[in-house]
Order: sequence, then structure tokens, then C-alpha cells
Amino acid sequence: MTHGRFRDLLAAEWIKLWSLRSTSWLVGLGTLAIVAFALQNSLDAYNGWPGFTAMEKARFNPLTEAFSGLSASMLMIGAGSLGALTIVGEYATGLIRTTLVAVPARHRVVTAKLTVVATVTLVTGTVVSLGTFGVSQAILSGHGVAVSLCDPAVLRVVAANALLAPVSALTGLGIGALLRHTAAAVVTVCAALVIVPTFFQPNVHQWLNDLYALVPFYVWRTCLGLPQLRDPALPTVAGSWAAFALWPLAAAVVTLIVVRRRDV
Amino acid sequence: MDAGDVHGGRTAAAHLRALAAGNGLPRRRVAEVLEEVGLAGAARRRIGGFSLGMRQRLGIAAALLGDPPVLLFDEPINGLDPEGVRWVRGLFRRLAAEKRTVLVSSHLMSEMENTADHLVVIGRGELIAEESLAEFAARGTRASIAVRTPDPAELAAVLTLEGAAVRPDGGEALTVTGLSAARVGELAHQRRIMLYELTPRTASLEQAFMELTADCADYRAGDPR
Repeated sequence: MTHGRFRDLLAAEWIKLWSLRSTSWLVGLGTLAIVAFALQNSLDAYNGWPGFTAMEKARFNPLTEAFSGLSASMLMIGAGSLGALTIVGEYATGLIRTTLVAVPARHRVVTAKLTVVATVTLVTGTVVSLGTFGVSQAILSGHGVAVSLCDPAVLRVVAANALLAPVSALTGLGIGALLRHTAAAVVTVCAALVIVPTFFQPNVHQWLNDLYALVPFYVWRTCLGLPQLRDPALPTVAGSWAAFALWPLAAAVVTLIVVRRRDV
Repeated sequence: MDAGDVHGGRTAAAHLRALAAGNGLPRRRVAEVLEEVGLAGAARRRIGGFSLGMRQRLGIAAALLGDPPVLLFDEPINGLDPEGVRWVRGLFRRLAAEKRTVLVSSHLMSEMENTADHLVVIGRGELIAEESLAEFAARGTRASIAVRTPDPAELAAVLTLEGAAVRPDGGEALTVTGLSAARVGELAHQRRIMLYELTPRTASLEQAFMELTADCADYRAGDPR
């Protein structure tokens, strides 16, 4: 058989992704759930606004009503699982052997898979981020506390929220390629992306803070997801973007290496 | 490709569509091969619910997607229903008639007897035989004749005199080698020995195979280690 033009490989991966019913369900219901969550939070804030103290009003961050830490966890776990399942599904069922017999150029197959997963989750993440932002702003503007996308800090937060999805998905894909076991991969994705970083708190040991600054969920919580940055001990914006880039790139390299070197 | 190496959550058509897309094959090939293997009606069903035979058909469909000049099948008959076995036989013959090379690996000798033109026998990684089906079958025990008579002792004596090898099979039965069935009948008639049965037996492919591989094993056992 042929080595496959890259466009053909993208088409094959696209078909494989969307021909599993779980993909549409996960993407559809996940998006709906996170947007509905934004709707509920914003309505609560809207209704509670008259009773807020002056301090609460001063500290009010409308972006958190749109997309909270829980929303981020849901998006990361959903996207991470999606990424992991695209490759674990092939190994667990043996389909990977058929795939690699049909197209023996393994690195091209993997690159196509990474591209499709990154694209789909980037689009989904953008829809989620803009959807939650739009819903929340529409409600909160009633009290005049809405913010504008033209504010660069707001735009950064919205972009960071969206990018959580592809960052998690590619990391999940890398974990899936390493573990090749469905349950183990999904548990590891949840643990590595969300559960363990939840326990990371800024502290007096700067070396620990620097280490935490390499973790996407931590830098999102302490830097990229916040419109105003006050504490200089916390990760910088540039450093945080670097952490966002580091994980998917490392995962892509790991995936390319293990799929090439390990027997199927 | 192993016919079992598929994702059970996909439909047959989606599985083949992905394979076709990856190799730049037109989408209509999917419907064509599904039609060809008799799965057109199950195209939109998920593979998880397929029987072993249906999976085999799907595997064959995947192999046919690219319209290849050479096809290799490893135990394609496993799990097929009787209708499927007949269909696969016809398919192989047709593919061969279309000037393609069809290589089928199988342990089912009787099945190969029905399908193959040319045999390659490999034992312990070594080529044991590579010849036409007829030549291979001829390697087996020389044709023998099964005879039943109420007087086996006398018939055996007569036939032995004529140069045949006679093996008593107990009771009325004898197995004769070295004479044609016609000659055995003629001799029995001349000596007025009654015959109940006179059946020429050709060596089956399975027999030939067993003898050939047994030789190979004997030879190996004789090797100093």
C-alpha cells in the first residue's frame, strides 16, 4: 500500500474520531454542561448582587462566574480523556495493527492523529470559552459589571480557557500512548492534569513555586485565568504560556517515539 | 491485517471508510467491497455485534479495498459458516481468474484440496514442498485398492504371486497396492473368487501432507544434537 499523503491521513483520523459515538456525546454534552454551569453561576451572582457587601463587589471577578476552576477541571478532564481514548482505543482493540499495516509510516499516522485531536479540541475549547463568556456577560451586564473582550487581560483569560482543551487533549494522547490501557490512561489523565495540581498552593519555598509553574492547571489558576495579577511570586504570563506549550509538545514527542519504537 | 483488529464501536462502513481515506482510495470502494463480501446489509451496524464469520468477511473486504494484484489470506475460513466457506472458495477462484495472485495459508488440508492450484508446504521454517496440487498429492502413498471378499486368504495369495503388496485389514478386507483395480478384478474373476467390494483409493492431500511432514520430523530426529 502507499505511504499516504498527509491530507489522506488527516481524513482517516477525522473519520476514526467522529465515527465513534462517544466523541459526539462527550464533545456535545461536555460543552453544554460547562456553558450551563456558567449560566447558573452568573444567574446566582446576578440575583445575589444587591446583597453583596462593598468588599465583595470590589473583588467581584465576572470571568470566574463564566469559567470557574470547576469548569476548567471539567474541560481538562473531558479533553484529556478524549485525547487518551483516540490512541488507547486503537491499542486496546488491536485496531492499531490494522492502521499501521494500511499505512506503515508510523510517524505520519501519529502526526495526523495529533493534528486532528489538537484541532478538534482547540475548536471545542474556543466554543466553550466564548460560549461561557457570552452567556455570563449577557446576564451580568444587567448590573453593569460585565467586561469587554477588547481588554487585553480579558482576552488573555478567554484564550487561556480555550487552550486548556488542546493542551489537555495532547497530554492525554501522550499518556494514552505510554499506557495503552483505557482505565489506567483515563485515571492518570485525571490525576496528572487536575487532581494532583489542585493541591499545589503558592508557598514560601520559591523552588517549589518554580516547579509548580511548569504545570498547566496551576499556571491557569494562579496567572493565565486571572484578569489582574498582583503577586510577583506567582508565575509570569510568559512563563505560563511556556508551560502551556511545554506539555503538549512533550506529549507529542513522547507519542512519536513510543509508537515508532514499541512493537504493536 | 487480522480480521479481529477492529474497533467494535465503529460501523463496518466507517471502519472501511477510514482505511480507504488513509490510502487515498475513493469512497465508493467501501460500498463496492461491502457488497462483494455480502455485508452491504450490515454496513451501518457496529462491528462489536458482528459474528466471527462477519468479521472475517469484513477483514476480506478491507483486503480488497485497494484492488490489490496480490492477496495474502491467513486462515480465512476460520469462523465462516458453510455458506461463507463456499463463497470464499468461489471468491478466491474468481480473484485468481482475474490474474491476481492469491496466497492462502491454512491448516485445513481438505479445504485446500478444493481451492488451491499450487502448494507451498513449510515445516519448522523450512520449505518442504513447492509444487502443483496434483504433484503434491502424488507424493503420498501410491494409489491403493480396498478389496472385500469372503475368501481373503486365497485372493491374497493370488495377488501376491502377481507382484502386489497385500495387507490384510481383518475380516473380509484387504488393502492392495501395486496392481490396478482392473487387474485385481480380472484375477479374481479368473480364479472364481467372489468380490464384495473393489474400490480404488487415491491418497488424500491430508495423507500426503502427514507423510511428508512425518519424513521431515524423522529426518530431524536422526540428526546428532
